[in-house]
Amino acid sequence: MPSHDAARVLQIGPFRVRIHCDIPAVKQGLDRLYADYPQHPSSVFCDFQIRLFPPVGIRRFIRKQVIFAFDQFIPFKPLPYNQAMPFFEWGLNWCISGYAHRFLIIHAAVIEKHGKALMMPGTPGAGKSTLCAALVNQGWRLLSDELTLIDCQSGVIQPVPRPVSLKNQSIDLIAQRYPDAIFSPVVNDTLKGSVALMKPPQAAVVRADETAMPAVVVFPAFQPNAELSLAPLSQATAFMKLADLSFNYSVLGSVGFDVLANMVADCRAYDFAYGGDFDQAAETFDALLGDAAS
Amino acid sequence: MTKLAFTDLLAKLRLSESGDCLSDQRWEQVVRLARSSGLVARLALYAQRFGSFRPPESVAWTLQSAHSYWLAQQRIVQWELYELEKVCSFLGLPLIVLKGSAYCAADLHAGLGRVFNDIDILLPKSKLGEFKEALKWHGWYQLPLDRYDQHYYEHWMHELPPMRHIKRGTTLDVHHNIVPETCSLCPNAQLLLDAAVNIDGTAYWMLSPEDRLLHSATHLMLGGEFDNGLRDLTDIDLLLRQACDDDADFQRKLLARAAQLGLALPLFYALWACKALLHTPLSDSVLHELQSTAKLGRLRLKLMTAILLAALRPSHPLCDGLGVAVARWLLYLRSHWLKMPPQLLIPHLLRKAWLRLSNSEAH
Amino acid sequence: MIDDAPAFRLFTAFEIRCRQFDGEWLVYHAGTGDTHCLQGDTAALFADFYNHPSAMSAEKLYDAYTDLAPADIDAILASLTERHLIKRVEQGADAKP
Repeated sequence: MPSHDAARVLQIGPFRVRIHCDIPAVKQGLDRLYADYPQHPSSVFCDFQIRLFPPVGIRRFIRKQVIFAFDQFIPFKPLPYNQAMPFFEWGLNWCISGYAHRFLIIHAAVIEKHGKALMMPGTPGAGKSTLCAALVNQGWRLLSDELTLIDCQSGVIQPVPRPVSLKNQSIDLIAQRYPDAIFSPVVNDTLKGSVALMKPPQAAVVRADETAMPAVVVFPAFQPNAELSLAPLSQATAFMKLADLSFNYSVLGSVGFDVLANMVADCRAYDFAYGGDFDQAAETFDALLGDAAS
Repeated sequence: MTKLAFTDLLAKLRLSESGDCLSDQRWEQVVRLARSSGLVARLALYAQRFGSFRPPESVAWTLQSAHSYWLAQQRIVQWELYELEKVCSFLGLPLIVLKGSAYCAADLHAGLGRVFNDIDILLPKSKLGEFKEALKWHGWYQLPLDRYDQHYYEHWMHELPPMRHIKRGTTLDVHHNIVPETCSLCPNAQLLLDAAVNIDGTAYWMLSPEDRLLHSATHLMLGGEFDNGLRDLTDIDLLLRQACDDDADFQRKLLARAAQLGLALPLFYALWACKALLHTPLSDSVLHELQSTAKLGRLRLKLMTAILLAALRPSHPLCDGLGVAVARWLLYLRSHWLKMPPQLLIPHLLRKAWLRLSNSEAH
Repeated sequence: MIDDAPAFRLFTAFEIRCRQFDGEWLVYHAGTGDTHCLQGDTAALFADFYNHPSAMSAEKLYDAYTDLAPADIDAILASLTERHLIKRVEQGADAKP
């Protein structure tokens, strides 16, 4: 058990996270990707106590592995040792989606301009993270690339900016298009293929306590070379799709129903097909948010 | 430092005291211990309903989240009972609800922040076959068991093997007694059924206030598992406080019932631990009387209470893990010793130990 | 949107919450935890039932889709769902991270 002082305490969006980890890849990953996050002294109250460590026994030497623990609880099977840094990200997602029920949590990337939020809910492969990474590099503020937190009391979106997780071809695509972006080393052969984490822009981290009003929901569908198209969705349909993609809608019950219904009442929703033209997508989204102002 | 965390948690669980105003760091340790004991939602409800302490804002979020989770569980239990009652009324049986599900259905204080995994109900043993058959038609199936476990449930246990609902995924434990029949302390189930009371405003039933307490105490002392020991102890504390508020004569009735059902011994230990750890308002004369009814000698008392106190500590590095594990293991052995005659017990424990060993190797 | 929900305890012990968007109805059932989306004719019948909750409007809604006698709103919604006349998000169907 590492001593209390070995941990670092980071403010990640509304959460305080105490991280115990001696694995070099994680330490370097935190130094590189979380450099702009506020650090706290170890005496503050933390929401999550996270440890990443290799298992004892023979697995220390042969096919080395890493274990993720939330305090004393180990929710996952160990993963290969080289996946420790993405494992931290996935594990933290799990902690937030299972223990932060003051928010309605939706599996969606969310970005902001002029105080208004644009959500991109998505099943894996829909291209939400890639699109999110591109738009964030074009001046939109990152609120989250994975977990949209809707405050149950106020209905506003609470940012929880984190490194953007990019997969496979998207890694090179974003790295080439935005050479200033900073990345973690690529980790190959994960369950999701090759993964790299893109450091969130400093402004997104610094402004993590500035909430945003939900305004537009687009359900992205990436098809190579497809024409860009935007098809309005009825609010009830958008509601059902969002509820389906929520991590805790059924935990929140009637509260979740009200929060989501209030949100779709104030939002416009679209099915959005695009072929990978980021400029065109950005233009379209700018126009959508402009309209949302009126 | 580590002792302090447990003391701090206990102080928050004592309803008659306000406890210290804690630093953020000490609060974090309280929440961690509470989480490992299934008590976070209970703390949330203690703050909200009884106002026994005021958590700082950062802590309040954590408690509120657990509160939301508890509410979701309340909804699920209410729906399961609603569905089960249809099965019962079809068979002309009353639906008698036990433990956490009963506290929830009756909105008892013991249900506040109480989280659990299965629905527990009680039926006359003679009706089990018929009921199990009817359950199948309503989507419930028995979880697969090997032959030994099947035999174990059928011949030695006080409940059917767990049932699962095929669509909703809920688990149901159908009991015909509160203690295994092989146990020397096994009460006459008919007495429990006869004393059951209707839950106001519903078609559901639950055990009488005395029997609820005796059930919770025997479950704690004979269940064999102490993972939820501290949570169960707070149940007993809440059951007792509420029953005493409702009926000034409750403690006397409880003693009489314990003697009648032959459950004075587990009740004594449970109440003793409640008073020691949670400062439950209980007169010494009640404990003395129980001790003499149970014919409990001084030496045994000293030994058992020491083991019990150790086993009720949360299993967490903040709370000295090794002593807790040893004490829990001793109480596990004790519960089996009481529940089974030696000719059954020894092969049973050997088998369990063997399975545990081969399981841990497989990992 | 209709703000004052009529007394649905007439039909069920469990809370029903409804929201209407452009003629489409979202219905949350606090017993099952399911959320239903009602569109088209179903929505129109439901709207009538919601705005004038009575055994008669429930029966009308129900009669449109089944020949069983009306029991309660649970049965109505279950029947509508089974016939794929309405969509629903099931309790416990939360996405996994």
